[in-house]
Amino acid sequence: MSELITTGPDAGQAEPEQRVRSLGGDAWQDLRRKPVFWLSVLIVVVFVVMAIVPRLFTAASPVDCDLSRSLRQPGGDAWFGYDFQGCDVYARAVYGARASIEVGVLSTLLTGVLAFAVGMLAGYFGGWVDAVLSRVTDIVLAIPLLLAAIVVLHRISAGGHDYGVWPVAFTLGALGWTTAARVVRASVISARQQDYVQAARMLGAGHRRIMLRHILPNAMAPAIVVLTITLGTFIALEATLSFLGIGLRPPNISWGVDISGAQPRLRQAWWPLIWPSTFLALTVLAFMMLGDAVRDAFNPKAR
Amino acid sequence: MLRYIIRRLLQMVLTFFGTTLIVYALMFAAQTDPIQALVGERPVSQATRIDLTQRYHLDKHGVGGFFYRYWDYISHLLRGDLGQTLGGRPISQILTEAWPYTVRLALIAILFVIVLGVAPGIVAGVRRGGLFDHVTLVLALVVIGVPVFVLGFLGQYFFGVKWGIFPVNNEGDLYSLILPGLVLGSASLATALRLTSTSVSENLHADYVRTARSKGLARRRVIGIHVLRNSLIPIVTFLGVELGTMMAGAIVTERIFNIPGVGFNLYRAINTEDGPTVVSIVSVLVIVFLVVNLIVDLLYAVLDPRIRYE
Repeated sequence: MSELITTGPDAGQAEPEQRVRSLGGDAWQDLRRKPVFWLSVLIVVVFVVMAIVPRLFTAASPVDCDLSRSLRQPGGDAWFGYDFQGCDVYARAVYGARASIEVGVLSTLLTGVLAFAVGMLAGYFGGWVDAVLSRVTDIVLAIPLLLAAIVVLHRISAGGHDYGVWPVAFTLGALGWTTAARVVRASVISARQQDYVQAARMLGAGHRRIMLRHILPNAMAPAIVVLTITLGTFIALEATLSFLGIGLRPPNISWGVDISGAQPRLRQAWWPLIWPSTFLALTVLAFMMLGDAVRDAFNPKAR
Repeated sequence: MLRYIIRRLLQMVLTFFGTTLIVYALMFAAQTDPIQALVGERPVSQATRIDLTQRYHLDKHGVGGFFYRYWDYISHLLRGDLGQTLGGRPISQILTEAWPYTVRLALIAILFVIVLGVAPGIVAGVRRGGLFDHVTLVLALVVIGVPVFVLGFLGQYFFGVKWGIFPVNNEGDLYSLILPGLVLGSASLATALRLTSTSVSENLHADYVRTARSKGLARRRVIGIHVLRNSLIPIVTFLGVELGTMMAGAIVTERIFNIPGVGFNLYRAINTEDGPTVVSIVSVLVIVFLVVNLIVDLLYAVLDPRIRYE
């Protein structure tokens, strides 16, 4: 994000004396000194690496299950114990990171594209385009995300096929863009009035050029903050949907699937529940704290 | 004020048709065999097929047919006729039995949010930067990060199974709704705490507070009257919206604690692949959500004159 701001129109030629610090520069100075920021970055990096190369974290296989080890307590050969099916709880938690991160990233990408498209068009053109798009946003926002996702996923899963993470990612992405779209719209409206946009228009730049080259880079920061928090929310929602039985299903390995599988035998064994829950909570928390920290850094009032 | 109410009502009518159209379309559009989609993976007998075709006017095809069916569904919905489950039970009967549980649960949750969220939030906001502020904010963050169903299981395990303070499952009385209410309210509780503390601490620096202080008013009066009145406006609206969200979010809590509320019935309908019931319950929940939002918006206009004269 800081890169966007330092490569402004004349960052190269500007005289080095008395460089005015931009809002982004200030924010970065502020962030660098915050332990919360670094902690959440660290957690995010660990879980992203875990999602890409799970073998780095465990030698055991998540599908190497043996019923003779069913619900065996945590001990020497498996620190976190075994679940009901006799699978290594830790290995499953590590491999479960992939599904959660995949769903989070894919759905946030889709939501980001939709939010930027809707917010940009509504904010830039105003008038009836804005009226229509804002109404549509209101309508989608009026349906609680969990309910809408339940209806869509119920419909998709009725066929009995297993498409992996795609249906969940698509559903969340297609329904969860409203908040981010409002944020984009607001920042586009304020950027539209700026002198540099007027200047670009005077020079004969077309709508597309103005939107993509001039307004977009400046309207990006607040939306990216919202999207970071959204990513955390989506990961939690994926787990919730899997828990309700309409997100991911058992052959897939995910934290939500494991938590929901551990629940019926909670009285005999707590370990199959605790580890996926801890990993899930840490990931969700890390993304939310990251978004929060960046937002506070960009908010001069909070400083 | 009247103009505001009218404008808001018109908006709600539009949103109502928009949301129900979306829910209906999501459920029934783009189906090669809508009857099979309605009943899920079960085999369909010829009799059921004919019955469903008549009940949902599936013999009318194309876009016109879709809107005909949508209109049929909406007009029934507006008359309070929610249709029947696949098993033939009236859905409105299920809902009348289920509502008291969900409403009670949501009210208990809101009570927890006020007592454990808003009140500490005010203290944290007044003593910004103090130990209490830091501790509550960290706790709030942790609660926000842990998904509701994990909290539910942990609460059930520790308070129900291990220490035996609360019953593990619903036993029909108010006491057994306390733990589920706390779980349901937990996420909102944390948000309310953060929102209140930010709002109070921002208002403490406002000019009118400085004026009140320099007039020599007692600290109690400055905080209790001047600061709180203004800071609580956003909190009231937040609580109202959360009440609506909780009715929807109760699906998870009710499933964990086996409370036979609306969410529990929705969950059962999903699991038994009962399409009509899913659509009806979701529509009703969306309508409740819309009405609650409307009341909240009107309340906001009553509390804050700046909105009214916009």
